[in-house]
Amino acid sequence: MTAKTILTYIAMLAGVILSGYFGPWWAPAAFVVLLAGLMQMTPKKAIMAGGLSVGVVYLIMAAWMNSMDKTDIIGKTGMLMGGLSSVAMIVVTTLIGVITGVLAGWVGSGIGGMLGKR
Amino acid sequence: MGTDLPVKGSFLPALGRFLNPFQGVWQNVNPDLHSFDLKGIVKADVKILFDERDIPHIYADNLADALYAQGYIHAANRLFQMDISTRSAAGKLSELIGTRTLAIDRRQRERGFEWSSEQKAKSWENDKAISALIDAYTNGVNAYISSLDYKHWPLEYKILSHDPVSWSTTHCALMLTNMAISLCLGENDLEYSTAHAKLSSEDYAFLFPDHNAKESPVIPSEKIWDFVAVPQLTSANTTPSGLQGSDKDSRKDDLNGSNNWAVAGSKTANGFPILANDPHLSLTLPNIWYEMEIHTPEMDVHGVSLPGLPLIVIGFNDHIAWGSTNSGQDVLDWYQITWKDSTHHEYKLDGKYVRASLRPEVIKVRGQSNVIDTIRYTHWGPVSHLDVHHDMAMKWIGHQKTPVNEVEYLIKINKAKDVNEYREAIAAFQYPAQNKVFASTKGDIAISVAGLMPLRPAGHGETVTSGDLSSNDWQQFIPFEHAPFIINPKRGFVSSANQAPADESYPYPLLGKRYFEDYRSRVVNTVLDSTKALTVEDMKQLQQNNYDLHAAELLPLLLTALDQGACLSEEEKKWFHEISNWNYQCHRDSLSPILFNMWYSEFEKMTWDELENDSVMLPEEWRFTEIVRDFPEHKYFDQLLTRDKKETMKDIACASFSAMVKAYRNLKDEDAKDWGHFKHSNIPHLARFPNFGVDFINASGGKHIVNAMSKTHGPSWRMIVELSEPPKAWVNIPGGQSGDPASPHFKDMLEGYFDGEYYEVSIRNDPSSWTPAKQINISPR
Repeated sequence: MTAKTILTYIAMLAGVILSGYFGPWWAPAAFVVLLAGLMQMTPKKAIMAGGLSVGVVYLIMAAWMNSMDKTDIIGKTGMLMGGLSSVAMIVVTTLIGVITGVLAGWVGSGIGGMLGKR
Repeated sequence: MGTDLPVKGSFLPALGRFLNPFQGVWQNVNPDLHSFDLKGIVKADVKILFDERDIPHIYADNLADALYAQGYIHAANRLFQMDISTRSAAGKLSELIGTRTLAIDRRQRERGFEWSSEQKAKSWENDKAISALIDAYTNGVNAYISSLDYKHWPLEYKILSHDPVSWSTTHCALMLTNMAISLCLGENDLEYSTAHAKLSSEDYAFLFPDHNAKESPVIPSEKIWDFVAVPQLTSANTTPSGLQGSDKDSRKDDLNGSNNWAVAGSKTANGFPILANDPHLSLTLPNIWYEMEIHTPEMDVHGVSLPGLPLIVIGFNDHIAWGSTNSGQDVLDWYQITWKDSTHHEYKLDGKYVRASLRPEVIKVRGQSNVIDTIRYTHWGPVSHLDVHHDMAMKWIGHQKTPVNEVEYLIKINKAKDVNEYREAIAAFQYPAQNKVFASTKGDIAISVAGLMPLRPAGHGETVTSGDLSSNDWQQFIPFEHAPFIINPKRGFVSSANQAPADESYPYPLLGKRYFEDYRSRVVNTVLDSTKALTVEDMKQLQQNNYDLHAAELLPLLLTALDQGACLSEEEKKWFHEISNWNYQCHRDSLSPILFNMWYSEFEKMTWDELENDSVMLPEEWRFTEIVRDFPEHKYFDQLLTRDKKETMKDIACASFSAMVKAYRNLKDEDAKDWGHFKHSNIPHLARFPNFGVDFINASGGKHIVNAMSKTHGPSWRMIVELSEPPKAWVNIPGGQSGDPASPHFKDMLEGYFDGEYYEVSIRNDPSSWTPAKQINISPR
């Protein structure tokens, strides 16, 4: 793994955390699109970086919030959504993060490719 | 991922937003319990100090600022509850829920609840001073709503994927209407009409007499009615023919009720009057009430408020305490409409055809196109066209224009210092009719049957009436000076438990006999009458009294009829001995209440087979007991199915006992264990989200019992106030302060509630004298 790749991953993780914290719910996806586009990442790299960074951030955040859930409100909410436990809610959240990141990376890579052709 | 997904008639919220760990449901894990400052539409600084139970104590320089703070706090803790309650009254649930609530919404729209609430809100604007106070409260609610972004939405909004909507004066009026729907929508016009049509006049009079001879009315018999009553007009009571049916859905739940009493210092151990109140309502989480304390230069008041309405509804201040029970009077009449033609645009009134006014109703339905309906409004009120009240107009107290602003009552009672100011407040009370109990530090006790009570033409109001003649209309309301009221009665206490307001000597007819409770009040009055040197502990015991007077009066008659079990099998005799030894206490650990209730149910079903066949309502329990006692050979005990045999009460008692034993054997082991498990009390979440409520509470008590905890109804707030100087109180609530299911204060007071725990409360006049758990400071913008 090259230094550039590592830096890209770090930048993407940082951007997803910051945009997630300060922006609307779709901001992490927008950030991945932007970064993948500006860096003109290949589809494979963009999908990997997007999926991994958003997925990891969602996983860590969900697990952290779940550890603070004294009233099992996540588990109770999960029961309304087809009987999901709090662990299943973390898994689904991570999956949503991965899908969001993958799609955003793919779109960003496409936009980057179009920019590169110009 | 940004769109709600319809799944099996329900909806999954847009998952991308909902499960986003920075914004979505994950952010509802940790409720905000920190102190903070904010800018608001206030004239001076306001402090809100929260005590260890999360009760806010508002300290403000004027009432408007206090109400702004109250609105903010109500919204911060109970916004979803406020929203769902007003939507329920207005017929706007389907916008959140979808087609599942469409039938409810259509009925609410056709009953005109939103229409009359809008009228009411407009009329409130006529009184500028009070209108400004309502605006202050509304501004407070909206200040909280406008501070919300998706991350901070209450959990229920995220689950239902709907924005909180801004609050208005109409919402406040809808809250009042919603309470009135719970408490004074009860009537049996159609049922009485059916009974009139199907029974002989002798049978009707035999089964449904007006007065229970054992009744212990709210106003004791010593009261002399020293006024000349307004004479009732006469109008031909042209009950339309061919009516039958039963509007069970909209009928007031007969488990709604309450207890209150006030004991004079002469009957208490330490010489201070004591007042107690426990309103029985449908229990939900969050609880209907929100406890708080308000301090302004004019008042220091503690009690429970109704989120969505300003001020304290039941409580005490430095001088007085007050409480409420429902009066249960019939304040709703149905008038049958004669349309001119199939367009239903004109109806007959006094020999002419009059145009109905039409109000289009657009019901938004989640995931579906809007449903549009047109409601017709007549001289009487809105016309139903959906259910058994097809083409009948509804005249209801909640729809009437009244000269007084309802909030004025709350302001006056919160500030009242003595019995005169209490009576001034009562004069401003409109509906739902309530028994307002009172006690003061000056030593006075009193009770008033408060609220507007219609005076109808003689003989009207019990059955459906023809809407063709305006002379069938309500004449006027009973003048306030003539309404039942007593101060410092000789017996040394006043009390009410939803029984009849007054005895037969009262000069006005009081309709509502099926809703007047016949047992709790007699137990309360017996205990208060027979006990000297009453203490707060006695009051706590009385609020949790589990004596079943209905069983105590009926069961010995039934047991005697069994003739020592002569008609029973050996196995049935075992249960006969079990129930014979019952002390009539409906304790959660006892078995006999199960046996009695199941036996009564079978006995009632077998006795009234004729009436059930004819869709006629059954006599009340007290009357049934009289019939068992005095007419054991009456024709109604003869069963329809056995033509060759004439059964008596004894035969029915035996047969129903055997049926009870059989039914008991078929119960699940868990249910058959004891009364608490059989009754299976529970407190659901307001939106009926599974797991958000409490599925089982092992509680004593039941219907007709002072401790009125049934399956989902029960004492929603218990308060005992000793009118010392300053007053002291003992309170508890089956739930908690917060409406947030993730909050530690969502149901923290529930655990000890059904074990009879109370919290001692005194008014904290000086904010610097105690350390709050949390503080909010509001300063002018």
